[in-house]
Amino acid sequence: MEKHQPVTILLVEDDPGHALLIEKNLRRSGIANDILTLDNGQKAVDFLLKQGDYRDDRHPAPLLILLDLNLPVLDGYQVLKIIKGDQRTRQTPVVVLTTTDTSHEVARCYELGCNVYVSKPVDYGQFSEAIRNLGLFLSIVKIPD
Amino acid sequence: MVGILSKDRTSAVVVLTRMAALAAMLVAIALPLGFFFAEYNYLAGVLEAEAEVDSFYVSRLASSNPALWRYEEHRLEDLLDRKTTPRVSGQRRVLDLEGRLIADSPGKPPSPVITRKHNVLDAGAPVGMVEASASLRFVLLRTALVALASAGLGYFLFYLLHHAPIRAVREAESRLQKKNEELRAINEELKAFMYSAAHDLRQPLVNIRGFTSELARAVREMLAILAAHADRCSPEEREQLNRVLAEDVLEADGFIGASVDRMSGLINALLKLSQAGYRKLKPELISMNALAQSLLAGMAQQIREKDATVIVGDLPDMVADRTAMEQILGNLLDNAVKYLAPGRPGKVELSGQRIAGSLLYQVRDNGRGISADDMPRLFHLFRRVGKQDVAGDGVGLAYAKALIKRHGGRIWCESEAGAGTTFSFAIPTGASTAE
Repeated sequence: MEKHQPVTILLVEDDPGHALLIEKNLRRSGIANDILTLDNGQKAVDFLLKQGDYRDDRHPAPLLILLDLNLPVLDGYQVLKIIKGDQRTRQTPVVVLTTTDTSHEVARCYELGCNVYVSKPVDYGQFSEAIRNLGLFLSIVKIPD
Repeated sequence: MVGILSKDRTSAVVVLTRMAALAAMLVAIALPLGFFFAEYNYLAGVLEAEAEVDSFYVSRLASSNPALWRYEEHRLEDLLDRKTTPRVSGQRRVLDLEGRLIADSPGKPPSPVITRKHNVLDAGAPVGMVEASASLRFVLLRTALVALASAGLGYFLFYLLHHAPIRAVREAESRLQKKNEELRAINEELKAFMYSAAHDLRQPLVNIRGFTSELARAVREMLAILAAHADRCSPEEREQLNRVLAEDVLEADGFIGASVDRMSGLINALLKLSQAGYRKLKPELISMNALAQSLLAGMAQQIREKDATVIVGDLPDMVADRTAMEQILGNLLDNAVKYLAPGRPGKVELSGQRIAGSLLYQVRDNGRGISADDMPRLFHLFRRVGKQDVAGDGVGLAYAKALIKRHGGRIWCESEAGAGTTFSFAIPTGASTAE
């Protein structure tokens, strides 16, 4: 990605297994960026908007968000709505990475402002291929500072 | 929502209203009319009798004095002035043959008047007449009272025959509507439940599949290392390691993987089925002939392989959701071809016709048929009946049934094991699709 400031990937995923599998496969595709994992939607929003527990946190920037939809406290749609509606986080790219691929869910996510929608296939061969392709894609994506 | 009874109810209401109105009208008109005629006839009868009785006395007078009887006014008036029948206060007059008044009793009755005459005879020849008349006023007054009472009775009858049943129907309908709404809510909940269950069930599968694959991957890496350092351990150890790693672990991975794939397939089917309930249907005019041809074109290979003949009759067009119709008809045709009996030339027949208020389509085959025992489970989800020698997921018919139901139609099956099967579905014309 950008040479001057490495992008940190924020992975919002409540299932630790999924988080680990995603991280493993991203690493295998050559992604060396920091990956930060948060396990619920509220934490993600607090972190991004620098509030609550994350008020005094040192924030890495720039960020790219990998967002699951099925999340506790705040679900992915709510997180998407909040961060795409806030001036500070509006520009942060969001990749929705979730288990389903029904057309109305995909449409709803794009409506709410997600930048890319990727579904996690159950078949692991396809899953790792999808994540690796995503990794390759992420490695060439330009992100605003 | 429009009450589901509304159509039936409207016709029931019309019939009921007509019957009730007829009954009420009969009572309100027939009763006073009957009363009037009875009274009128009674009065007429009384007057006739009086005229006859009086004419008898006057005739006697006339016979006793044929020349001068008409000048005996006082005697005549006394004669006429005797007591009359109670309730009938009238007047009696004696007239000559030309209608001139000879004598009368006092008390001219107020109009309208009813009059009855009887001849006065002298030696069998008429010499004059006695006229008895009475007023109809009291009869009319009583008739009016009866009419008033009858109108009340008529209205009461109308209420009894019309309002009360209609109210009962309305109440039944509103109860039904309430039940209907409850069922709809339950149905929505079920759909949502099915959807999220299917969705959430997928989540752990990703982990199971993912981590067993990771394990297999690790084992393969270990096997590679083992191969590189094979000389470091004894042949027995090498063989044991190989057996454990290459056979046991990878075999387990294979089984887990296959099970996960199967489960994933079932979940996908569930998701698909729940989406059949969710998806908004877009009704449009569909040429069923063209649809059938395009479906069969897609099945050409399969049909050739089975050496089957497919005959398509003239199918009536219909207004329905195109995707749904493709899936329904596609599924039935696919089943017909898939389950043909091996060893005899397959024949599949698709026909359609218009029957009272709906469109009927039938897919008939000469395939292996379905035994009567299997019939009840035919449309159940994940249930596959008969010999399991052809791949399938047990979703097709359940899905087709769900889609047909959403079009307000129904699907049924007739079959004889070993002889063939006919699937029929009927979609009401002009049916609004259930949302």
